Amino acid sequence: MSRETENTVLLLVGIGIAMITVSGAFTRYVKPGLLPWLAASAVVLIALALSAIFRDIRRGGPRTDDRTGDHVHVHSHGAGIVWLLVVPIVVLCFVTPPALRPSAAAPSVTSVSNDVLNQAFPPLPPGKAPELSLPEVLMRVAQDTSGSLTNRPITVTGFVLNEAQGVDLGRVVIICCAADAQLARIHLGGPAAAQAAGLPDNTWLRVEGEVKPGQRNSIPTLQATTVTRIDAPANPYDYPH
Amino acid sequence: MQLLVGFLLACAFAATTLRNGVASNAALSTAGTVFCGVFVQAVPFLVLGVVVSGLIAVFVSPERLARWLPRRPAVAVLAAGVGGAALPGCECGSVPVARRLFGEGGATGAAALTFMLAAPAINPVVLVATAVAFPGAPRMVLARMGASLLTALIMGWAWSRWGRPEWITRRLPAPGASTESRWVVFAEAARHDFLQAASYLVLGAAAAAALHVVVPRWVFEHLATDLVLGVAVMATLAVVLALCSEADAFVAASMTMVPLLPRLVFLVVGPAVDVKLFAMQAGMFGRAFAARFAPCTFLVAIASACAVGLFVVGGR
Repeated sequence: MSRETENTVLLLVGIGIAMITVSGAFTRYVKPGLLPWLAASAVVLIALALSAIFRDIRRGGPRTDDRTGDHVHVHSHGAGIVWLLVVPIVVLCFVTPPALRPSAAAPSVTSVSNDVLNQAFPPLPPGKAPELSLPEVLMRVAQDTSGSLTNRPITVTGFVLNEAQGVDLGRVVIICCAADAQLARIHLGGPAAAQAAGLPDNTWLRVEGEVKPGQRNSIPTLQATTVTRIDAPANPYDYPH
Repeated sequence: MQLLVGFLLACAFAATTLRNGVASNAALSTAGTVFCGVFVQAVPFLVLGVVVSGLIAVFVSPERLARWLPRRPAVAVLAAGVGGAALPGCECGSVPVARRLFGEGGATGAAALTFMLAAPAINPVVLVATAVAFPGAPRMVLARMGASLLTALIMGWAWSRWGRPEWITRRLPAPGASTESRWVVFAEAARHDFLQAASYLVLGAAAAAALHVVVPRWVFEHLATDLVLGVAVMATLAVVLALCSEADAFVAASMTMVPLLPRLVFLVVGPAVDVKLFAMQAGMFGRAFAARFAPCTFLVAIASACAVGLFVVGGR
């Protein structure tokens, strides 16, 4: 690969990162918290590429590797591999794969269920039925020693997962990037569960209900009182922290 | 150049077809998303790594580094291992940095390799992440730090004893003429290192994505409950999944069916050797080097994790 092509590839990788950062598509792959770092990376890559291109133009044509004899040999030796960088350019700019679907995430019963990890969680936010993320509900069910969920209605968002024994509310949880995705789920029970049962998989719901205590070692059940259909949220995943 | 432009134009015209093709195939779209996940996650760390390696190219010549390090190689390796705590990042960034420090091999080679293995595992960001992931088991943090440092030191000493310079087949471009400004030296070094390391990162991310789709997860979950089998399975899983060292603690914490010791092995092996690191080492140092260094690191990491683990967390 010639030096000018390398510079172009470098520029395009930077532009690709910038594109998914600006369009928000990066939240399909990594945590939203990475935003400033991705933006900074894109700026650095584009600056490196442009500065190399401008230096070459000022010199009049691409800089040739004529400084030492064996240097040329080494450079041509490992340069073909740079073509591989075309793959992420095409994938990020043109294909932009969709967010993970539930079947691709590893099943996880509850996030962490070791008894040594039990602790008193802070009280729930005030309000009639505060919004909680699904992983947080599961953590509280499994580990909370203060019983913060007892007799408190909560509101949880997730998608429908039809199972043989009933209907579940699910959410794909990622910790760092799409490679470590896990599926968090809770059974739906109670008066309003029948409304959710007829819906196809992946319908997004907001469910209000209560979790009865004492369901530590299995998938807990949310006793639903109201079920509302909602649009898919902009942020496809949930994050435990 | 014409080839690149032509290919990209073709892709641009076929973008909708490509997108629908990937979206309609479950395995392909999962693989694509995992590939993007690994690659996008690694890019900021890689950029940090090449910026540091560019600064090293400007300010730290191998001679100067050799003068800073303790004279005796064994002590130099120790200093480099502890110094690894200073680079807050994950393993993708430490490979180009170590390649710069490695220079032509010589006196600083062993210390650079120790730094490469130690930095992603024992820096404060990773240790805090581990502590957060295992809130009830602070000994995991201690054990992880101890076992990773031990692995790095053993590999550094092993390199200074048995390492051969002829395994290093990839050379860095010769430093520019002294007339070049510092900015040019920096930009050229960072540009070269990014292109090399990122290309191999693509290879590694693709391998990780393919394995994600091909190997069903339940295989590992059912095999890992036995202690001895669990160690082997978790070590393999660490290599195959190629997780970022800042995230692996959370993944290990979620594998509650596995005893603590195999999970420690997972945390020690992951930052030291995985498919993506192997590809990057092969690209930056040479295939002959990576083919010897990676399997050796794999075994040393398992052994030191088991030794330290039995001592600190016990056989649970």
